[in-house]
Amino acid sequence: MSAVPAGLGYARVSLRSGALAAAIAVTLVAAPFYLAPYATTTLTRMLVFGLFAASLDLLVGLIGLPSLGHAAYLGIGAYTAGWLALHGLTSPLALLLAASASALAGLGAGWISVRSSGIFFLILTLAIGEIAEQIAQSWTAVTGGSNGLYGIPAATVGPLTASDVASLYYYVLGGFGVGMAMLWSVSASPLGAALRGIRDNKTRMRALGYESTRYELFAFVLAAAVAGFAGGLLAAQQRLVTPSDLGFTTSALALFAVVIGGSGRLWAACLGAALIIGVRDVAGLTVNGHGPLLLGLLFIAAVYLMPHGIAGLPRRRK
Amino acid sequence: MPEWVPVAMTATINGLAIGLLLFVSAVGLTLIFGMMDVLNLAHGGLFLIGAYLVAESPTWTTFAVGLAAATTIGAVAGGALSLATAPLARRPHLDQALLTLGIALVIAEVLSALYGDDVRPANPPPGLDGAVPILGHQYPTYRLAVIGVGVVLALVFYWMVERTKLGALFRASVADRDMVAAIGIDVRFVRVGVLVVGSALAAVAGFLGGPIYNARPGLDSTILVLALVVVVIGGLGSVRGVLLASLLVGQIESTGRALLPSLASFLLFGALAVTIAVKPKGLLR
Amino acid sequence: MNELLRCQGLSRTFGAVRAVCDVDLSVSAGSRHALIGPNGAGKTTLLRLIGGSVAATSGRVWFGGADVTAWSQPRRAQAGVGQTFQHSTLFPTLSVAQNVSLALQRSRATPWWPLPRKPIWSAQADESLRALGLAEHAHRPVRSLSYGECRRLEVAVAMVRRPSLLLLDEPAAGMSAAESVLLTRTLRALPMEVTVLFVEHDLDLVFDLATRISVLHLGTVLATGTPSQIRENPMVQQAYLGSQAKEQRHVARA
Repeated sequence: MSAVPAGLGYARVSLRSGALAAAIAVTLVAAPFYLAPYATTTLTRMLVFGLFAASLDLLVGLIGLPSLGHAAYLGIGAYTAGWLALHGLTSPLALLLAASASALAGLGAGWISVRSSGIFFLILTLAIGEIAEQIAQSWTAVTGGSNGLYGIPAATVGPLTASDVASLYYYVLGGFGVGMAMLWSVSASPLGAALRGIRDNKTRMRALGYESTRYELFAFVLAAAVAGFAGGLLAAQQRLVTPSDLGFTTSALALFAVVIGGSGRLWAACLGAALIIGVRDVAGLTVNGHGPLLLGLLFIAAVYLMPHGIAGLPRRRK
Repeated sequence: MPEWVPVAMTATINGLAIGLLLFVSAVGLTLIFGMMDVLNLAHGGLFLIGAYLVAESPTWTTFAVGLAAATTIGAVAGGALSLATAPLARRPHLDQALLTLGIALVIAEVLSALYGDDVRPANPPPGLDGAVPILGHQYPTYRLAVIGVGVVLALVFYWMVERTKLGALFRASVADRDMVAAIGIDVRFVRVGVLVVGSALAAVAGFLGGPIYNARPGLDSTILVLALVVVVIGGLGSVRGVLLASLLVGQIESTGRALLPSLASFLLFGALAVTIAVKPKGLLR
Repeated sequence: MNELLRCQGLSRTFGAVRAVCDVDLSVSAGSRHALIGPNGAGKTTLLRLIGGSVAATSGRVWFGGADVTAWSQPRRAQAGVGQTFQHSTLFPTLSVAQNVSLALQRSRATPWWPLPRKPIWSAQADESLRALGLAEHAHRPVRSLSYGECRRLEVAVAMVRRPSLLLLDEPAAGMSAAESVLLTRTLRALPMEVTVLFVEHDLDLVFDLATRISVLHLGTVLATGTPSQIRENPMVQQAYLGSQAKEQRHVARA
């Protein structure tokens, strides 16, 4: 191996961003000590939705596959974990099984979807997501139909039970950390560079010998798996799973989180997700339950005003 | 005559009615794709507007007025959509889709604020609300009327796309948009026209379909997804493909829901998956 | 000499346009084979048919003894076909070294885990950059490079995986005279294991470098031969070289 030239690093963590990450981690870990229980619950929801949005960003931002039906995998994970908990499995193993179920579904759906591109990809993911919701509605024996799965027992880790606000928060925070580490490890690795290369210039990457379809399928399955993992956390947090968890509105919310955060940056997706949950939980109370109206207007405004999201605001568009 | 014959018969005719309704809404969607490369997610919302309008039209007079209103509202909405998407023409597909998604959310919420969240039953106009006997089985007259209207609309569209100059331009745009622009045809008017006509068709389809589906929240996304599946199966920008796929999906929806209600959605997904696996660009592309 | 690449009856039509029509071409291992011809002769399409980014309407392609007609572009690339593009397609936000590294890493399995961060680099990568005068620019982002530097990097990236066949689409287009000389020197210095098939309008460069030349006209091969054979072929002179050659030389000198 010869001397490596400067400027080759993929995941150079600067001192400043490292310190920032550490500060955020400490703030998150200490949260239940300084936040009111209600705020802690909101933060728990933000973490679940943030992980879900970050998994979508792997698709939208990293490899450039805009999915309109990503909630399907959140929902499949949530239903799997909820069903397992109702049948006695409340340990973290349920999270892994939830991720596996979603990965499997993602393999099937991705195998179909990545053969297309552009608008066709949008349509296919949307259609598959909607069909998943319809299945959740009509397959009553397993999913509980439109009532969903309710009375899901609290998650357990060994002798500990995530039943009160603080313990549930730590359970979700732990899961969030694992899921984000997974996504970050891909994004920061040479594999992540290859995914970005396919996003920017598929022709060139194919000429370099990258079977782009295979990478796209990999990204699709991984994003589905992490979404399913987030779904498992969702089931533990809500103790209830309904068809709307895998519906179009949830997909749209996640996409919105990615877009207003600024696609291509995992932390930005989390920030966008936190913002949306904040708006929904705090402002949703005041708009008479017509949160989606506000959301729709925000969507329209964001498309025109912030083409690069929050992360794109500091730098000027070229 | 075995007992299943009338059941199968009813399901088949139902499928035909649903299929033709789907054709009327999906053909607008495919026109908009083909000409403008825009995924219009507000299409289902326009269908729902039509459905709520017909729920307010109990007599023939109101039915006629309502139909005219649905057509006008759809056309105006189409014009507004073409204005709204014009500045995004050079942006990624996702941005345009997000814009129409925002519009779809707003339409759905405004309708739910106006009409509430309960199902609004819509009745066919007097004279069509009865039933006619087919093979000794009573069948709703209105659905037969929908089939008739759908066949006429399908024929008109087929003729327009295959035989007229406008249709030729449409087919050329689907094949190679840049070339059409390079030839020097001003496609702006055609684009506005396509969005106006396509959106009006969506509202009309909702109006005609109201008495079959009844107006209710969520119908917009149900129809949108069915129309999208139709467009994918038929092939982007192919009118013949859309017709074929609508009839197919109509049959899957109706017989599937009649025979295997809990698994009908799997059937729909299966049809989509098989089509994409065998012909990634749709049946007729 | 061994035959590395063979095209037989290769055709490609776009709608009603026949871009490449019934082309037979044989490229022997170690040769520097040039494709010349007027604009629209089908040179670029032929390169793409060989590279695999465009599928053939009819005909076959053999590479290294294997029928690769049905192979995808990535599979051909992994089998040893490297290529550059007419319009530069480098990644503007990545550094020169990262662009090279992206080309290198495929030859091993793409690593997922970022820790420990052992960058993917090789002696070949250093050598390619040095040969094309880019070694001192390794850290610079590609968007800050000049046009000629980008073209050189394009060639360096294609060379770095030591392909057995290098397809170059107008490698010298837009280069200054000095850069063009550097490029010629680099290509000539390539080891004989690397066969080069290139499209080029600069006839000085072509006659300087090529060991064999094929002349394309309206999608068909008009003639193939050594540079002196081509220079003397009356048919070629009439169709292509003639007055144009002088003009070309003029432009190249300017």
